[in-house]
Amino acid sequence: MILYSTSKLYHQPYNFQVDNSQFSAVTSTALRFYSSMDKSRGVNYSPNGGLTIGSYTNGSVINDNGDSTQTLRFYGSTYQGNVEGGSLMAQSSSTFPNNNINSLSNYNGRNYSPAYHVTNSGIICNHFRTKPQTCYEVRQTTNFRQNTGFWWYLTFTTSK
Amino acid sequence: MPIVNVYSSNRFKVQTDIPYSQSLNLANLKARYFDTIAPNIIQTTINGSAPIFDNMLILLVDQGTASQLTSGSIVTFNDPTNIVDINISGLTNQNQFGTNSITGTSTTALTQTSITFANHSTGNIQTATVALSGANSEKQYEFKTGMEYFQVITGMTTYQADLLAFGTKISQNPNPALHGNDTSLLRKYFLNKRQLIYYEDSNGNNRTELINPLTIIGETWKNLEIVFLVRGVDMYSDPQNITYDLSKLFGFNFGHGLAVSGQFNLNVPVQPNSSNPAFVSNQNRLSHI
Repeated sequence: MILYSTSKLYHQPYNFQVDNSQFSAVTSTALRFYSSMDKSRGVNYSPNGGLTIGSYTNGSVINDNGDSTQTLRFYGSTYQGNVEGGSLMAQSSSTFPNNNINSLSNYNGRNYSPAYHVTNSGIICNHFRTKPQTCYEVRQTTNFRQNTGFWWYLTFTTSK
Repeated sequence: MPIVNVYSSNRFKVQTDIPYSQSLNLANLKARYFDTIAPNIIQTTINGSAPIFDNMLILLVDQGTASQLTSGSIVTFNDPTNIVDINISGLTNQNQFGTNSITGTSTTALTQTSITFANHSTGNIQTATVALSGANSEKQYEFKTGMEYFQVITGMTTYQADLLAFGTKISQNPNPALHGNDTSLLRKYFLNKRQLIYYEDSNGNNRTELINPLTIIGETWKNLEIVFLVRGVDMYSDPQNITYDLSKLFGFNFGHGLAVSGQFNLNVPVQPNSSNPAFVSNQNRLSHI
């Protein structure tokens, strides 16, 4: 069982106590299906070339620190913790609805997916965006291209 | 910020409204439990004890699915074959049930048990004491750990949901312009969701069309189904007499809408997280950077 200050990833049954003399530890290769509730661990990857979310939003509402920890702040200067999950969709070529985007390369986004890094080099991560012995939580669809204005839609959850 | 393809010129139109799929996702965010306008919150009463509060996983599914996912059904979205749990079959000698699963014990006497959940107003941990009982003092280990089990509470067609929910009934108002209604989770995210589509007509003129992405498929929208599940199901404790009050999902106060009662497995309700709570969902247009 993994314990955090007020939250757990696993829970015991309410009315069943397994015979501890018989129980063996359980292993799983499905790392990415676990909820990432460990706020102490950053994503270890800088999305969109390390540009901050504020590059999309003008920094007025939502921003991050632009580095590999991807710590967010909302409506103020207080960083809220590492990302638990969320998505960002934005484009960089026009400022009005009904305008045209001529290239998909101007359409950018990030998906923040709950998953754990691999800290044990002996574990192989499949289905992740990978570098050697590393698994990322952050995935991006295209590179960010800075321009004169943006439409954006963003949903993040870091807690609750 | 979705886009729509202009097929004739391989360009894309900027859109301002999220698509239906994203709306369904938003309905199931954990943060929706704390929403004060269209919350994803239910009241669970176990054996008549003081109620606890929880959220649900609510799925829009194809016609005919609800008849397979009947009330009380257990569902998981993990592949059990990915989990190596030797406790299921690794016991050297057969147990008293004639299998090689490890065993454990339960309390059969009525026992006061603490159940914790997140307070929907403060986000802090809250504890309720409920009376639980067990039918069997000895059990075997039958369900793999390391995966989440979901339990179906009920299901219905989207048409039935429309008739049950408070507010503007889309089955009685075919015009999407009259569908605006955010009085409940089902209205806002499932039934009365609207989407303004920017597109280019065959003459190259910019046009807009307000649609309801559910009803735009025609009358068959009424045959789609909605299934309501609770998360984190405890597969080992014996089923208890539980009432799930779904009133808020339909736009009513608790006790004034749909409730489902029966013998159900217990589940671990929504829990608080450890760091400062934060959630944002926003859309904006900015002029220049």
